[in-house]
Amino acid sequence: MDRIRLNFINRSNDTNNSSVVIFQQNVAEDFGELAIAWKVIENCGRLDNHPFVFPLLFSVSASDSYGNYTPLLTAYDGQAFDMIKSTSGDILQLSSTPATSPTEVEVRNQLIQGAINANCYKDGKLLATKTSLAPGQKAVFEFQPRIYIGVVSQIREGEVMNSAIISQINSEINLFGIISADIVMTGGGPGKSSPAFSFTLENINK
Amino acid sequence: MENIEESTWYTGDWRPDGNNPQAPYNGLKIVATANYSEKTNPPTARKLVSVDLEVVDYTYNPNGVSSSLQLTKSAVWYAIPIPQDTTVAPPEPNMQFTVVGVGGNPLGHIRLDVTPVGSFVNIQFSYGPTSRKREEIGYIMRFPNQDDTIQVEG
Repeated sequence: MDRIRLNFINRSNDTNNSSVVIFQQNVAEDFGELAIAWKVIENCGRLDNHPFVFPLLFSVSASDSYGNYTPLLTAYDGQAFDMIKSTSGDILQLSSTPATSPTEVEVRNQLIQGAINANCYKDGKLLATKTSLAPGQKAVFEFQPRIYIGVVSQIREGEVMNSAIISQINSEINLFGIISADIVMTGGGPGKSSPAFSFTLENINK
Repeated sequence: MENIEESTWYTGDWRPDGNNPQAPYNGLKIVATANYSEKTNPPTARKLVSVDLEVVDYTYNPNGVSSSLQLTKSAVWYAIPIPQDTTVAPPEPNMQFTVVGVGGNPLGHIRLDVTPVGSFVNIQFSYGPTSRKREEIGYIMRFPNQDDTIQVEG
């Protein structure tokens, strides 16, 4: 199993056309409270649903100081990738030296000069990033089968979410062993007495 | 009954490099131990009998506040009990244990879902400081329904 089929269902009483953001956090490094908005579900009205795929694997890419982006390379646990200067220019390649931890993926800046950004993607969307890696430095990534989900406004996919936004998102959904499931949102509604948004799993297939 | 497998799960805010200097000191962890039936003679596969759980909350106590429960039935929600604070007399519910239910339920819940591909631990609770309760739902670990290791005596 390399992906989980998820289906977001809006059974809330929301009247603000709220957006729902889904993201992951890199557990290999302490990034503080920063994360990337991996998926933003917009205009999903009451009783609408929004199916999507959540890959368990991720891809890595790097960008150099010249603004070049390398192709996405699928990363497996324990692998490491080196950004090197080849005869054609800067390229990202699988390293013969594995990552320090078998559960982590590393992206190393092996250029003589120039910082790089290391990026992770799932389903082609930016999932995590570490910027300004100087030559000799590396980024370490590890993601657990867990997503964070919450209601936000004015966030776009691929954007960095700061601690103020993340502090509003307090629902964690653990997806260990799941093949497919519905994520059902309830709560919300007009007025100050309306309940908070809540998320539950239904129709779970393992 | 014999303990064969142990597994530990941590909340997303868990700091593996150590506690914070002030509350919330850390997140929460769940240590699960699977209990299988006794060895038999002649040896047969041992079936999963129960799962012992220890829910340890580090929100307000850097040493953790523990609550224990045992799951013996499939597809039944078990309440996570609020542990007693035995440092006061008479003992009273430990207010440093922050695990409660979701949707206004006073207690968090855990259950075991037995499926053909294994037995999954399913959680549904919130925890953390009152100012920032975090909800945790879903499946966190799996145990084999039976231990197929053939035990050779002697």
